[in-house]
Amino acid sequence: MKPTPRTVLVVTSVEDVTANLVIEALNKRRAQVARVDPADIGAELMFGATIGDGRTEWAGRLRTPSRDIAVEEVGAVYYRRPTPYTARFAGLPEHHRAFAATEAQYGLGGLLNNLVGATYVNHPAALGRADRKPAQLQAAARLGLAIPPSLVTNDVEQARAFAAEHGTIIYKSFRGAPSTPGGGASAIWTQRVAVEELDDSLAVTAHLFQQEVPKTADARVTAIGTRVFASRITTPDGALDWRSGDWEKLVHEPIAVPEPIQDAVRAYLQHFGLAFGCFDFALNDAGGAERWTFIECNPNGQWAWLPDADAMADAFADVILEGWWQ
Amino acid sequence: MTLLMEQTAPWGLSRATTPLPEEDGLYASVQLDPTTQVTRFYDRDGAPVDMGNKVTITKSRGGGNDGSGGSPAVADDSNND
Repeated sequence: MKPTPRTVLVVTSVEDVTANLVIEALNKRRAQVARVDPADIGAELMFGATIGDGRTEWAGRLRTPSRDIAVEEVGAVYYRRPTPYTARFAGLPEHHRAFAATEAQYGLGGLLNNLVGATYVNHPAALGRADRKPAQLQAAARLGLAIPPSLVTNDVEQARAFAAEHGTIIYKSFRGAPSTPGGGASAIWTQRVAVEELDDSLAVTAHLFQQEVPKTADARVTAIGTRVFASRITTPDGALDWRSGDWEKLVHEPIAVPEPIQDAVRAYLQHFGLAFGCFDFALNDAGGAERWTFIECNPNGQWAWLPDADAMADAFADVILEGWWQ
Repeated sequence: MTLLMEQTAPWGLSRATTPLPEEDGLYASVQLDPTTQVTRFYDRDGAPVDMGNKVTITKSRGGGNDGSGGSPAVADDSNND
């Protein structure tokens, strides 16, 4: 059968190496791919779509220098890491920048996020919901996963009381540190907090504290559709947060994910309407069966460094094309 | 409480690292292959750079609108939009 003319829209920046792996897997299947960074809006990205006059769904064209596609023929959207609109308009005066960015987000984004019949991996709205840690912890707990006792607060007295009750506590940010004024990146790694370090400046904003989970290793569970890939990760120095050190020195070993954990992971994706998620668990093998404690799930996490990356890229292609590509 | 909250830095930011070292030099430019839609990376002399998964294991740039880099770096394994 002749392939359909339908297209996979890959929404990401040109610098996204991970998307390249999935695009290559899609190309192997002879799927038609259009890579679009919405922040290219302007001469490099022109679009027009209409509705009404008997049409109940948006129809029109989206053009990049190398693709000209019908928005009504998009079979799937692989949403990765597009450039923020504010970066696109950085050269404009603030008033113009704010207007242009918001209008692009609501207008072009509003169109691309509402393509009828398209499979979204993942839908940005689902990403938005799933990427809040309070939502993550509650969903995991309700699905029966073990989670660390956690406190969200801006009240230093509650933080002190939590520390007194739970012994060693850790702090983690909800989103990480923004770029510094000079444009550099800094990180807020998960770290232990001594009670005397807490002060009234907690009141300024929201903070997340958790009881430290004793662990012998971490597990990264990458769920793509119904497939589950998992690695046990150990660090040479037993770091609390494995992201904080040299990733080249991490030790990855295959690990079997217990059935109840797999079931919970799939139910978690379903709860948030996700097709994919990167789950972090703390493992503790103190006596008998290894205990898995849910730490977090990044619904748009990185996975290309993992040993199974090629198989994962194939799994992404399967999920993206499922049900509409032949 | 006597702190002036409008002028107080948020506690959590005191836990941030100093800015991570810049990793310029991995590549100088990036271009989209019009046929495959895969992006290809080049050094300052225009020679292709095999990125492997280098960007994703350390930190990635947010992406520049013209694809030439130079946009703010972000700590990785985080969602950016």
